[in-house]
Amino acid sequence: MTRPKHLPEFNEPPLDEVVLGVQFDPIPSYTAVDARAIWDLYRSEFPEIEEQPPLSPSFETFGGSPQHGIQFRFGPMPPATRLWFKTSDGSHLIQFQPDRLLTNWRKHLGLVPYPRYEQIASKFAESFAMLAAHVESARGYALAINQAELTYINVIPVDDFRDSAAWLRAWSAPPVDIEVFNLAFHEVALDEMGRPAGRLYHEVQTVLSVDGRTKALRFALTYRGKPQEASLDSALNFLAQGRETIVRRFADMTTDQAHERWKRNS
Amino acid sequence: MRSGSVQNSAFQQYASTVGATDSNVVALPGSGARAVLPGHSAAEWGDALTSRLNELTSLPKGWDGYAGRPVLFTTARFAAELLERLYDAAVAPPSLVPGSDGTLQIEWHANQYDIEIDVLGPYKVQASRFDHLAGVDEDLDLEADVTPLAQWISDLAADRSALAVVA
Amino acid sequence: MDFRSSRRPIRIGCGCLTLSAAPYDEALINADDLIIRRIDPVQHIILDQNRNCRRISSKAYKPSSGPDAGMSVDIEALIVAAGVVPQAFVTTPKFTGSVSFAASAIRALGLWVGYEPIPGNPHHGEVWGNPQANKFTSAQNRALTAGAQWYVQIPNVELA
Repeated sequence: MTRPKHLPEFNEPPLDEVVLGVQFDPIPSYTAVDARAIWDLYRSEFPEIEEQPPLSPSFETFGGSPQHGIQFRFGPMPPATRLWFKTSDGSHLIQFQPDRLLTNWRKHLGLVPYPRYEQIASKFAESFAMLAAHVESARGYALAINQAELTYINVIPVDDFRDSAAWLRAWSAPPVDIEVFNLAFHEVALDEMGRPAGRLYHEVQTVLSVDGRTKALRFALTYRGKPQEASLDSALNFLAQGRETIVRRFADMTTDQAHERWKRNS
Repeated sequence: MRSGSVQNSAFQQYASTVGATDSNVVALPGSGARAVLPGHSAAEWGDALTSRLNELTSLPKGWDGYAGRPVLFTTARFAAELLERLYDAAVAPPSLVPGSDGTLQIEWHANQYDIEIDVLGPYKVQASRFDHLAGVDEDLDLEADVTPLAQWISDLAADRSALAVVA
Repeated sequence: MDFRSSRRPIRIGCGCLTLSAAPYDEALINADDLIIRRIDPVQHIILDQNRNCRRISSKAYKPSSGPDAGMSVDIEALIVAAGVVPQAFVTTPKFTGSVSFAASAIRALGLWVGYEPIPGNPHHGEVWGNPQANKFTSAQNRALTAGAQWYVQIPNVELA
């Protein structure tokens, strides 16, 4: 897996976290007892574990209109916990639940350099293959991927939120003393035949560091949708397309001044 | 509006300066204002179908007298996604019928159409429509793009009185 | 009754352990044998505004989606041979309505019908699609919907 040559590249991007993963048809008859065997697949590299509430199933559908204000909330979801398997240095983790596998990388105190998409995707492919082999062996069941997603979360420190326009093309700050703002929109990504292939979500929020001293803009781009096939290869192709879309969009939405600061070299 | 990144993030140590929102329900400012339309409100659909989806995902094993299982939560969630896209204020809420295998069928029988949308799982939809007046059958296999279904639903509210006279 | 079908699932000991059958058509099911399909009086019933009635949904006549799965039925002849009243059998332990088809009518659609005893129901059978067991065509589904006859009727509900 090599980086496409034509993509914008930054030597010091404000990238803070990358999340990459897939959703698949739920593993049948999965119970909490099975969690230990799953952790054992990754434990040597991810020796720490944490429980989180499960993620709801999510889908990217197209057509009709979702803007009528109708939403169905029903449940509860089947009992299951989302598990975080974490590295000792806190820079990586794997998220698992019976219908999801995700990997997260974060910039940890600047000590671990950004491993680049290719390495993250490659490692994720290994993790998924291990899970798929385990489920096949233990249950005679083949995991069927029904969605893939990639998120780049950038954190851009600012002295003042009024400075946002210096970093984001999409924002032309009015002459107000901004305390907070939240901008979110999404667009449908089309394939080469002009058919809906996925969705690209844009989120910009004003954020504060935990100690309240540092202001920043959190700019997240998420590409999500159904790969053409249920296989890992198809999901990786989808994610690679998502990566290109995200990187180009990031470059388009940020200013030349910002690019200079982040040392854009292509 | 659905969130892109918040749910899956693990490491964000910055606190959003915006109040916490339910990532499944984020509403853009102003989207809560709705025009009051004649017909069937979103609330009517919401109440009827939420209750029904809760019932279907809670069916007891053997509900059909055989080995029937409840509708799978993931399948119900995907069906709900479709219904959110297909809602039309001029159309009554559909019937929801469970399969023995955890699948779910959405159906309307009105305005001389029979529409049956069989949700076999996420992104696995087999839909059919029979037009009683024209005697025409249509079958579709769909995954993520349900545009044709939106037109079918819209046709449920169309004035077909002229066609009915001819028929 | 002589169960000598070579494709019949094996009964072991008391018959409480059986092996699931691969799809097949059972030669010992005669053409005029009734094949019973249970209908849930709540879950399978829809409002048909075109006909201004409540009726059975076509979903009640669709096969399960698992590999080699079909549409569950009860074989009347097996119930009778066991000395049980069929109408009582198919309304126990949970009341359901039911419809029936002649085996010949099912086969005329190109479908298979065979034995598949399961725990708790030794008279259980399956209707399978052919060539794909878990798939009935729209035409087959509509023909089943149209061809069903009440076996245990649900009040105020039309068949189709």
